[in-house]
Amino acid sequence: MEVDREFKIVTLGEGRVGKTSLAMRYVRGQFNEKEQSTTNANFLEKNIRINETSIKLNIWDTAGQERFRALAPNYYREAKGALLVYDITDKESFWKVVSWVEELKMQADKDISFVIAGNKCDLELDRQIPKEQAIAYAKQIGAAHYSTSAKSGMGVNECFEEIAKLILDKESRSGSPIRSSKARSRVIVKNQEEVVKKKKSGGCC
Amino acid sequence: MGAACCGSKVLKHVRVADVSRVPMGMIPPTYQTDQDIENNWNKELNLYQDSNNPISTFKEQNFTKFRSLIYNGTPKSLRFEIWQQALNINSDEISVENLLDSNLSTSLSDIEKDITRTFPANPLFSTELGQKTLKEVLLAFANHRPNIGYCQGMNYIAATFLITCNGDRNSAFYIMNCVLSKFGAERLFEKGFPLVKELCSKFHNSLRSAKPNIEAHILKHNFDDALWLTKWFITMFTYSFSYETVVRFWDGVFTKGIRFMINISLAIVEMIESEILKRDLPLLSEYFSGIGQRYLNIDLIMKNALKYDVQIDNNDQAV
Repeated sequence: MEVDREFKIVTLGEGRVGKTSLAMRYVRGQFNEKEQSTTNANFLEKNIRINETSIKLNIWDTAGQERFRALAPNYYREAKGALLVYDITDKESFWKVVSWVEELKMQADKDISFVIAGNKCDLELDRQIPKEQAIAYAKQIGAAHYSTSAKSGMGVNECFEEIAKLILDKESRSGSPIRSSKARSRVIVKNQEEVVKKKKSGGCC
Repeated sequence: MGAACCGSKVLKHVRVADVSRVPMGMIPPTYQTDQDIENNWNKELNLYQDSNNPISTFKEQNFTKFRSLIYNGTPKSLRFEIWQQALNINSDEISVENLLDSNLSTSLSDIEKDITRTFPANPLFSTELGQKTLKEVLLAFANHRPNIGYCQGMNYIAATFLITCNGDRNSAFYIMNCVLSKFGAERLFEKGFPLVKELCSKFHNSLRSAKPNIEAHILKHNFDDALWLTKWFITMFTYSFSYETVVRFWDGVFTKGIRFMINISLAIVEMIESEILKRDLPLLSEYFSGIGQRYLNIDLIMKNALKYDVQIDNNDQAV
């Protein structure tokens, strides 16, 4: 399969908001109720097609604890996109997204594209962050906001694909699409385990 | 038996078969079982059976043999007692109870986020009592060493100690505190992770000279340390390997020092050379994520770990 573009994206956010679960749901179609906490980082890859362009997404799924940033500044420095995740049932985690936005503006590639995901929408009853507030914030900083549930699968494909679209758009606007030197013709067996567990979808917003 | 501890530089390179092809459940004849290891120990301890504490007497009277036997493996039934002797645990120094004030710690919310996500499949940590005990061990340490606090990764180390001492909170705290504070492992968690960076850098230097083809492959495919090596070091192997494997690694680390984790990592990587060389980044990442479920010839890893001439600081040896 010919890959036209290769994009590195990172998942960022407070611990236990569901970064690993979102990435695993997106790439493997799986949800593990008992996901272990992440130490440092994980890597997942997914090939997708947006319009006529085939894209390989290199997803760097990171540990939530602040101090791990010291070990791998590269993960977001070279990233073209970021998924900023908060847990709708955890107010603090939303403020963490706000601080990540500031951090990315200061340190990362200036052209980084990001999307905000309010995860655990299957737990609507425990919601602490009003959806309107989150959407208003996203609008204010010019980012898209998605309501997601790694458990039900809601919004998961959409939020990752939105990041890929944003990166593509940015490239075509700047008129200098960078063809990845690593992108070359090859066959990749991936996603063979798609749809392992079908969870009934919760009453999502 | 017994010889594995000495002569770290003279052991000849051992050609290793592709261990991952050994079918699951088939144990090669060279593999020591827990029973074999227990028999080794009982044979020695029988010499001191009149003593009140045969393990302690064995340590005092034949220190060299004591060390080499630990390196060769500790049996489940005696492991915790042996480790306590090996690490000179002094349980009277600190009151764990006084360290459980959750108001003291800024780490509490970080700890709480991880306690239900630490070995969730393990019977001990799928109970509320087990999770509460784990939380208390971590909180006590964070309060005892506020400059270090709680760092993700400690949860797996504390849990491994708890499994070994059958869930006894205070015993787990004392030994973890000893390994982190006195043994030097807490530098793994210090701000900026200085020890992790040092271990990674020494690992790569050694791999470059011992196995330049593996090092080149890792570099070529951008297989970042963040995805595997830093996890091995920060969690002292507990995140990536099975409990039975980890305790053997720790037997080695407790006798050789914290930097011996480099030697063990080199021996693992060399053993799975062919598996590494045929994989690119996504497949490497997948393979290393699942390495705990693969059969690894642990006796051979521990034997090979001795042949690498990594600079080990003698000060951080325990016994």
